[in-house]
Amino acid sequence: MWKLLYKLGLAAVLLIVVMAIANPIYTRYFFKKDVGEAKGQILFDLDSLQHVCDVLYFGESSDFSYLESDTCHYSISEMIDTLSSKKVGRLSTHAQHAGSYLQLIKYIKPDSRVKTIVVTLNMRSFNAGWIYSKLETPLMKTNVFYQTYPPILRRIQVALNGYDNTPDEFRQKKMKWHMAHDKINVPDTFRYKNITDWDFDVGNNNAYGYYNPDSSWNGSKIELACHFIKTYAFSIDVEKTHVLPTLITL
Amino acid sequence: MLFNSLHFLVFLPVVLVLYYLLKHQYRWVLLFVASSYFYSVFYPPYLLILYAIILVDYSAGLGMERTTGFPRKLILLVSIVANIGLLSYFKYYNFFIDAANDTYAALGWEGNFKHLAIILPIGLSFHTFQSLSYTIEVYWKRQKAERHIGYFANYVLFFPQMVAGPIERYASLGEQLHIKQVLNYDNIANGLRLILYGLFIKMCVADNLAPLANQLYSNPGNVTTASTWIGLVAFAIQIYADFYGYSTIAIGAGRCMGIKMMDNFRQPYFATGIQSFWQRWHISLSTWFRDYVYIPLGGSRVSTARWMLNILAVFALSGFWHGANYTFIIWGLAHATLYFIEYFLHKTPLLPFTKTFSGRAIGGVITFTAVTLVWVFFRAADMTQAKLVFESAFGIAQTAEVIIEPTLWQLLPVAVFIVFEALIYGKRFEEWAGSYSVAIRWSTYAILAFCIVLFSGIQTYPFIYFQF
Repeated sequence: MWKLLYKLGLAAVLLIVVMAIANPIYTRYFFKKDVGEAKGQILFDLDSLQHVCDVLYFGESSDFSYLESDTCHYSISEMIDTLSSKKVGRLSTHAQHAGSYLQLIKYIKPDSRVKTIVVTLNMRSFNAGWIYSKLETPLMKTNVFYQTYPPILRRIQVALNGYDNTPDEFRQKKMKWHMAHDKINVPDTFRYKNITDWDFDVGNNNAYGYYNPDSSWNGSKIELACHFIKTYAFSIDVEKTHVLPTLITL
Repeated sequence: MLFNSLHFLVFLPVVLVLYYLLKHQYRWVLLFVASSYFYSVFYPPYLLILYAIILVDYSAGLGMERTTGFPRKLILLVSIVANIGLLSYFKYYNFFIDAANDTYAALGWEGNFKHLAIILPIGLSFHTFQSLSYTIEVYWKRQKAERHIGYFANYVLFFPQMVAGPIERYASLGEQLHIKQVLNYDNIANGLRLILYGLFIKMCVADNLAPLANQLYSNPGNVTTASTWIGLVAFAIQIYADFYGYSTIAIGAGRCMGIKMMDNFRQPYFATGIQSFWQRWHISLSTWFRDYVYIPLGGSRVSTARWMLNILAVFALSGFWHGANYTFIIWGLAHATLYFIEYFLHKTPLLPFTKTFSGRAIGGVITFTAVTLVWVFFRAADMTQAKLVFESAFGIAQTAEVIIEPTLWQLLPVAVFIVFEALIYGKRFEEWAGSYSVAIRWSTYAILAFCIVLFSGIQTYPFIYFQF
């Protein structure tokens, strides 16, 4: 028994020594590449921007999207940068959510120039379609690289699947379960109690008119019914779900 | 639960401590709960399928022991139908639907059978085969029926090997579960050595080679010839390292509890012929097919034509066991063909040549090349993709734009692995390591730990054999 404990202790010491030797090698030669591969480049951007910017803008897809027909193609952060006297640092990445930013904000040092932080919250933070989306796996992995402990430990955590890496098919199942079971606060008179009911009716009974009178597809209505209402209207805020009928009437 | 996860690295020590703290008569409860938890991490509802298999085969064992003649046969049939039925539904349903639709279309009829959205429970082929071996052995009166359902459940569920083998027999694993295991330094030390080596093989070798193989198969027909061969060799080593790594960790975890499991691999790529390859590759499955298919069919004690038919049947079934796709069947049949070629070559004057060192070396190279090429059927999504990969391999592809360039950091762990495999040739890692001085032994651990820490892949590649 004592021999076993002694040897296990030795093994633990060996592991610590190995990691202590490996950490500087890893940090110097591999860390940047790994973080880049995990799409976590903003970790390094943050390092440089926090000393030259007054405002840090943590955005997601909304900071990239615009319509071709828009007169101004600036992103939101660029617009703030242009219109205000403050220097705005853009740390936006597609498909990010507040969980990642929370971790990144810890990297802002007390002696940095930053006075204001803007964090945008997208729908990913609210509805099952996004919470259980397969995009969550790579995001969770990137989040590990955003931790503040030594890089070699972050690497080991990633290599040992120390994050939520639920396989896509199981995420899908969870998403469908929540779409069918999550309760929403709608008036009793409203026919649909969850996303699945809505989806089924829209898909099967053509309740909200996929077609124009000339039998062509009505793109706007399909987008409204299948994307916006299904994805957002059932989830944003239980107090505001009364907007649903209004949206439908639209 | 994945072996190469923090979750497992916490789970195993907790189970081990409780295992040795508990009295022997309560350990089955711990193993049952631990194994159920281990499996439920993947997808809890599928535990019910495993429980159903346990219930059916446990009852079948008892039933067969109490009956003779036709009722006994009937019970065996029920067990086989239940196990194969479950497997067929989850694994082969959509394949048969496709086959039916194709057949209808070929006959000019409208076959519009629908696919089901089925997720294959992880490791189902392994559980069903392991459990079936028990009922068949009881039927043949080579195994007494287990009376304690807890022990039988643990035989099917035993977490170290439940999702990808080795496929154990009741006479080995089931009986060992009954034995009171005491805390033993050698068991723990050997088990941990195996786990360390297994993690190295999976995380540093298999996961580093996976992107190279994936590059080949995601650009079928558009990869240069040299790069195609890099991708082919990468996959050959990846699949070996992936499965060998898993088996090594499984055997190690079992050993920590004093349970000895069979070897699943014995350096198969050092084989000098196909027959030898199959004596070294996925041994627990090969012996399963030998004992429950090949020998009942007559084995080799039949005419040459019938023997060839038996071999074809075993390889085709082995291929189909791996996956519900024609490519797997063709993979099996290609191995059968190689097997026959070697068999008939051995009847020619070439035989003495293969007994020399150079002859064996040439045999080894030819075997590795042949096996590597045949893996194309195993890895390709369909026959079209396989054809494109072969075209690239032999330089007759229409285009060749993609170049696969392995990095030094991908190749270094592979080189370390090959050196270790050559050094431990004929032994298991823990035997080899245990036979050296403390300095060499601990230097080896340090090298493996250093490789895991620094060179393990950061992309997640689930164990390939989980899908079977």
